[in-house]
Amino acid sequence: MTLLSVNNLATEFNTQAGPRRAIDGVSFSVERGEVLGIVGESGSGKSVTALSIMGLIDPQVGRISGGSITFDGRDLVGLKLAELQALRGKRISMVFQEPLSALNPCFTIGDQIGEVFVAHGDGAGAATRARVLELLKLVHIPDPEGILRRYPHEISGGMRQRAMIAMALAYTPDLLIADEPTTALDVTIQAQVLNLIDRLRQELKLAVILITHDIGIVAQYTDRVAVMYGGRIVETGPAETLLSAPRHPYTIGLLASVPRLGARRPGERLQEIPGTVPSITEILPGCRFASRCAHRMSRCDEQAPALVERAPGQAAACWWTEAA
Amino acid sequence: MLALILKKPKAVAGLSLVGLMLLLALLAPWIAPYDPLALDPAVSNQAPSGQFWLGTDFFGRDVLSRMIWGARPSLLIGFASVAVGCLIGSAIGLAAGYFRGWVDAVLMRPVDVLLSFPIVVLALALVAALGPSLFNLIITISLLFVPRFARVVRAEAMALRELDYIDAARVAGQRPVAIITRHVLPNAMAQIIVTCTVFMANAILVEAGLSFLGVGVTPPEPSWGNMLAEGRNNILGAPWLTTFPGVMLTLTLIGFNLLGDALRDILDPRLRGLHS
Amino acid sequence: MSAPDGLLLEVNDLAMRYAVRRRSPFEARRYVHAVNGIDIRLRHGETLGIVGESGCGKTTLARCILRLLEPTRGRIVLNGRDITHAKGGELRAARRDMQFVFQDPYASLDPRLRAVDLVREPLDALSTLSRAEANERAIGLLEKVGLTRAQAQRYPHQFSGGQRQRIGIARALALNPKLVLADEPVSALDVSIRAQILNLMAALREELGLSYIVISHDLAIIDHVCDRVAIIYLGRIVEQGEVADVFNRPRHPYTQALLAAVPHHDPRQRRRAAEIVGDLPNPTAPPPGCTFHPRCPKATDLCKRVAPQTTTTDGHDVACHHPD
Repeated sequence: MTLLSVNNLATEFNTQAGPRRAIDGVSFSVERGEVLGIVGESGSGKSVTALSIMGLIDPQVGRISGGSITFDGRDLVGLKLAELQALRGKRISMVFQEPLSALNPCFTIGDQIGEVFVAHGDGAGAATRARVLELLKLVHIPDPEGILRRYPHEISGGMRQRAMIAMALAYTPDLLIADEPTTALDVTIQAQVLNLIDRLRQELKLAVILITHDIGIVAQYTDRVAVMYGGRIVETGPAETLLSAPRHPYTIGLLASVPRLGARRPGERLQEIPGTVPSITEILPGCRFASRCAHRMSRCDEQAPALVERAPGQAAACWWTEAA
Repeated sequence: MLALILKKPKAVAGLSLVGLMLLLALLAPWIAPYDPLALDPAVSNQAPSGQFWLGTDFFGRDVLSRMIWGARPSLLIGFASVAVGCLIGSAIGLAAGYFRGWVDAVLMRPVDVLLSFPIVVLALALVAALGPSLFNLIITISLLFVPRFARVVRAEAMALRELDYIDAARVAGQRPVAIITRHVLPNAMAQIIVTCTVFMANAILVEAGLSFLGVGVTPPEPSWGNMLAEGRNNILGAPWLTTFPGVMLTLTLIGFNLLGDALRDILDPRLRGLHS
Repeated sequence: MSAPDGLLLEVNDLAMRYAVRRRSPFEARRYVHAVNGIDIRLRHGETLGIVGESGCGKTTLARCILRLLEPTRGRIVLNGRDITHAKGGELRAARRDMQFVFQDPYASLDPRLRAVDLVREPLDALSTLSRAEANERAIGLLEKVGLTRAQAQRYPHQFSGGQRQRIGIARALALNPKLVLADEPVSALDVSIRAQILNLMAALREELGLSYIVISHDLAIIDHVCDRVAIIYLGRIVEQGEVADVFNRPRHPYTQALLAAVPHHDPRQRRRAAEIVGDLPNPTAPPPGCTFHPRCPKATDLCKRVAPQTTTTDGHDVACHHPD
């Protein structure tokens, strides 16, 4: 059975011009033991998607305005806060981009990981302490006893991100959402953290949603990919086929614009995507990529294209692709 | 800017209170019903009535008229001493905060010494040395606020000098003085304006305190402070003598504080647009 | 004006140390050697990449060369002129030849100045142009980097990240510098915008005969824009040479680990990045001998005791006891 299935999800935020949809009609699913990559730039809606699944949209500024999030047979949209809290940290966990701001500077690493158990009613005794130690060993932190007593600012960024992952794994969740987990880290540490997530996926049969803007990470660490642009999924499919034969002009342009190691020919320019990323306050009836697209047709400005399967498991939302 | 102020209820309330006091002070000769200095033993200590709306004091002077005229020294001293204190204090704070090192040490040591005295003690000593007059009061209260402005502006300048665009100006070959006037000062301006409004309330309070203690505005010239002082002996028999100047003082302070609070929100670009 | 040997920039044995705050006045003074004995030679028109992880000293190095910091040891010669300890007018004169593009296009532009004023600032400070001439030149520069005459009158917050970085570049070019340093010039930008800025920098280099020093942690970007590259680890250059040489035949184990940690863009070539163990050591107490030895797979007894000297073969420098 599908572990998580998101259907036609829309989340809106209050802006000065009234409520605006940051994501609109987003649908995807994740199976146990699978890594789904969500690729996008700022304003693409990738982080809003993650926060919506976690039920972390601040009701003061926004809300889920449509669609469903079915997790293990239950719809999370409209769930009571207490029910959601029982799931969060226990069956669905999240790792954030910047571990320093996601950890409380006033408490030791050991206390903060233990806090997850306390929050779910397991007390803070010796048994909890032993479980925290076990978690730190699971994420391969050297000298776990020492790290337990350290404060977040006393350990390196890579160690902090491991501690965050340990915290996310406290109850062996079914789904782990990692939002740009290595963007704040150096390349050598990035490899350690991503390899760790991948090992845990295999050992614990985790479903992972890996949010990133890095094509290399998508290529190496994900099974399926959803490319987001302007709050919608514009293309989705298996990582291997999507990256080697992209169908949507945005995906094509993105892959061509990123420099690759060892691919340089002297004097060669990168392929550019002209223009800038649209803001959510602009309301466009048609395709949100149209203004930057080389294949723009009159239809693109009038009507938003839907995802249509172009190859086995690979779908693109594009009138030009459909006409080709 | 004005549109932003008008959108905030706090700002509107503060601005109207301060504006009202300013109008009273400016229009005193025309709106005060009586001469604030005219003695009339026949109407000594009268309670508020149709003839004397806010009553009269021991010498038979009209409280309403004295209260309206009393707004003048309060606001004049407030504005003048904050202006002088702001000018000198900001200059010291900008130089100390931007240059740091020995400039900071030389400029801030006297500032720290001045800050270590309680306001009233220092003010009393200064007035005692200079002699009481409106001009000397302004000098005294300005001197009280110079170190306080210097502290606030120095902190702001120290934060600003770490920003990339200050380095960018250095790379562009800009002289230090030009960097301070073109980049540091304009970006510290919001903080300075907010500090001014808050200190304005403080300055008015200090003036009232000094007048109350008898070293401020000298009787028979009315000020809210010396009206409170004169009325306190008969606070039960003639409560109107202390109540009305006290209310004026409080309203003025509330007005400046509300304005300061609102300006802080409006001028801080990080908060702009969040509360719309 | 230019030095006879065709060198634009020569950096000799450059070092910069910061005092560590002491807990008590009786504690011995300790220092962090952020940059420790760096040699760089840059010819006219050449582009040098500087690569390293956070905390390796690459930003301190750039700030020393720009003389935003005064180095504690060594010599910086720009265009035949020793600027190591230049001050006041002499230093400002040196700024004519050397400009900087900042990493963060949001923080590096004064929010209270219009685009044209920002670009004009170096001209106001250092050129003899009249106000009207300077204005015209500033607008011309903004047009050269792809903005319009109308946009010149706007304030920074009215531009997108990519456009702001264009303003930053126009400003850096105002004085016709010979050398432009760029610290992570595209890392704060959206992926689809990066190619625009990298291409712009390449085009300006060809047109104006600029030299660049590009600091980046992204090896693919260095590979794409640079002629030569220097790899920095803990304040020292461990390897330096032509980009093609260093990236195709890395000789230092650290360079090898960095290259191996970059996730490959082709999902069909999946390989788990070879992990480099451990974290960057504490820079206040660097390991003795070769500073990389605690993380190095090839470390021997010699590495723990003696810091390696730099050896050069065919213009390819490496500081390692056991190079490949």
